[in-house]
Amino acid sequence: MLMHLLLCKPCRKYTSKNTKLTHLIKKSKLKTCSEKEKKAWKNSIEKEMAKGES
Amino acid sequence: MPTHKLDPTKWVDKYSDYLFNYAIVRVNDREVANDLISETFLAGLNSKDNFEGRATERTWLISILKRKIIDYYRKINSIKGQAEVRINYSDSENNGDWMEEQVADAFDRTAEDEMENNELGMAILECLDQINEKHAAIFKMKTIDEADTEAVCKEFNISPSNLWVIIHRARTALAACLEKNWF
Repeated sequence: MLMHLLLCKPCRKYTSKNTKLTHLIKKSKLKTCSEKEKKAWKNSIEKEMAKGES
Repeated sequence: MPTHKLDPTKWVDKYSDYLFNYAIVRVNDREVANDLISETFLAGLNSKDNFEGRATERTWLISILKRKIIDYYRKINSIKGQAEVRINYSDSENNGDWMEEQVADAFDRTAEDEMENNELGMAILECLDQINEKHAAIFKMKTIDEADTEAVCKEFNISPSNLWVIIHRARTALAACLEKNWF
């Protein structure tokens, strides 16, 4: 792999970008909501919408 | 000028992660952030007739969330009463040059770094918002939640090779978007 990267410029460029992206994602400490939380929000939206329609 | 429309049935799938990251860094409590997002969605539904379509759905929801966060801090401040700042001078570990020890470190970039990381997080989510919805969901589950390949494949009913193609495409699109919007 390293030998290939030494010889292949496009792959070297891609790997460098990919490493940079991995670093940025780790640095951002992004969090996502759990499916349970999302389901609860969806239910409350649906309930509220049904209330509005009736 | 393009006018935007509201589609509350897609709010959770499209914006909950964005709103959550926005809220969590400001209130630093997962439960409070969840409550604020829930209130935001309900307030959005109740005032959807006021939406003029000049801003995007996300911008509009964020402006509601901002007000909810301000209300939250107003409420806890009114419960606590007048804010107090206490400095403990009698700390036994700080005996000696206590005055110097209270001075902020000019080279400490923790707060700035935190802020920059939060902004970076929001930029990543904004970019993910622009790519294929399914690809973004798969990317989040695999890369951000660090779920097993097997679990992601099962959830989205795809093969492992299909998963890696999707991840590759999502990463390429994300890198291009960040290159444009972040650097």
